Amino acid sequence: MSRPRVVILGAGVAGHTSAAFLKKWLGKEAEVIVISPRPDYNWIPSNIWVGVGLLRPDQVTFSLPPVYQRKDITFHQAKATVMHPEGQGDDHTPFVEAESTLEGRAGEVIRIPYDYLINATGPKLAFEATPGLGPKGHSLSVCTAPHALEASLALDESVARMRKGERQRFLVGTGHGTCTCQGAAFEYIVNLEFELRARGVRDKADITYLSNEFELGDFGMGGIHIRRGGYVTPSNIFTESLFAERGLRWVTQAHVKGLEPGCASLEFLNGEEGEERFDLAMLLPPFKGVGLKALDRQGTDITDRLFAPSGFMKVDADYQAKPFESWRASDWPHTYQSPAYRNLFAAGIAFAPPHPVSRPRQSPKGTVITPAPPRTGMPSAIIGRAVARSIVDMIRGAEKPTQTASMAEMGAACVASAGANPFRGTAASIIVFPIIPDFERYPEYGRDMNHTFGEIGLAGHWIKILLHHLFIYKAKMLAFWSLIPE
Amino acid sequence: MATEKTPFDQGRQAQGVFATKPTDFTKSLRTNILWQMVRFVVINIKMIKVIRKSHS
Ligand SMILES: Cc1cc2nc3c(=O)[nH]c(=O)nc-3n(C[C@H](O)[C@H](O)[C@H](O)COP(=O)(O)OP(=O)(O)OC[C@H]3O[C@@H](n4cnc5c(N)ncnc54)[C@H](O)[C@@H]3O)c2cc1C
Repeated sequence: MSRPRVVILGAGVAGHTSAAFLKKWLGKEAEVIVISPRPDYNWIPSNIWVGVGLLRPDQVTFSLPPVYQRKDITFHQAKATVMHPEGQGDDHTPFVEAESTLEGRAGEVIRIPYDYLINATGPKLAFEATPGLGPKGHSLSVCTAPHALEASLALDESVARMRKGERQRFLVGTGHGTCTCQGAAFEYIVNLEFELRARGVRDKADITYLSNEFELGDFGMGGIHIRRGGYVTPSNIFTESLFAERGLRWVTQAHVKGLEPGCASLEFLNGEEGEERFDLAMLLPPFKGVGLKALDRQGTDITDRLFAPSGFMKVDADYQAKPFESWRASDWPHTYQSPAYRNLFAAGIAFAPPHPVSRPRQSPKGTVITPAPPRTGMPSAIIGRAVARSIVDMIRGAEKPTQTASMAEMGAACVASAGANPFRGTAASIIVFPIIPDFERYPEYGRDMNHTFGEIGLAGHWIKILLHHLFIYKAKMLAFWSLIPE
Repeated sequence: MATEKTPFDQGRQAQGVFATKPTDFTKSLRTNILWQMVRFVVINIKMIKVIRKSHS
């Protein structure tokens, strides 16, 4: 009898974690197959430092094929396009179609049959949502290592101009009303400011933070509250404080309608319009699903059944539309199994969240200006591992998934760099529990105040460095890798 | 040299007026090596607790 085949789409934080644990737990009992369009693993959080010229792209990436070969994981360098969860015609074996991205074979279609499938394709960087946004338009990004390198080269040019006496305007933030990942924009702006000081040109720079958040410090999580100095203080106070201390200006409640060279046109929540001029803009794109399609056995398109309109995959969450006041922590998924097919799962950013966490808001014109919910690295990895364990148990006879990893029941530790230097650097160490606020369990703030915490200091920077090395070591699956927590 | 206030500076100052700002002492603690070694241990313990709680 042939071995069960577990196919994983995506080799990012979630997919790679799933693949690593599946192989560790199943050994030769099953074939583990990874399909991903790029041959590299990217430790995305450290792209921020590439974007300010402190790291090279090769310090935040490594080649996956040798790692997978060493661990007996099959790797296809390809982009998954269509799922056939029921097989095709008389052949009931589910399979996935992918287009090769290998040089010389680009576009060649391969079919990979599976017994279990994990969709861990992460986000599509939807620059096209805002005309002129992105590296092909008039702004920069740090979402991938090559984007971050481009940002650092543009920064070098700006610094050269400042050294000649020119003033430069920097615009950093979110490039659309529905963006998530404000944490990354926050990290980039404070690192940029720190770096400009280090290069001796800070006095020539006007730096503005542009955000779709209702107020600073929302981060798509509806903000957090922290006990400090005898008060329970919301995160907007801390964020404003840091920005004021660093001389950063901020513009919130903004949707970017479009970018022209050097100018961003804005629409605000109150209906007003405006513009921000810049010499260098690093604006994050909104995230969408990567656009996978699904067909049933007869070839009928069932994409709508499997995916939300955003392109993210529907899992065991409560997707019923309801008012903000009726949202429950328990709406969030537990097992990440597709309600349509028991052998189909989504992990990391690829699953469709049931609703935002921040209160939804629209401008009078109906433009949504609300951060989408965050899905940071730690939950993505924990979900990837939980899904892997469930699949192992199902292969061994369990009827249904055995593991749960609800974001409303797990915390996240996040270290946001605020300047990289072993003696003068700082980072904000933030811990929230749970990630999705649970107002039934924690009526006042939605979170457990004994575990929710934030502090800025050099220790955070040391932790950030440690995490960079630990997580790259772990991803390379070197000795004792599995002892390093997600 | 008297520096002219650009509109950027004016906007920034207006926002900054109402923001909580750290004292020099607080700022110095952020990069004080000995204090930060202590905080390194404390923050790691806090993180490990939450990681344990999240994996259970
Ligand atoms: C600049 C930046 C900084 C960040 N900093 C932090 C931080 O400090 N801390 C933190 O916790 N989180 C941080 N995050 C968030 C973190 O990177 C994400 O939560 C995490 O990468 C999500 O993991 P994922 O596996 O879902 O997606 P990804 O890591 O994006 O992986 C998706 C994978 O799917 C592949 N793929 C895409 N399309 C297809 C397809 N059609 N077929 C097959 N494979 C496909 C991709 O190539 C990739 O390998 C940051 C994000 C950004 C952008």
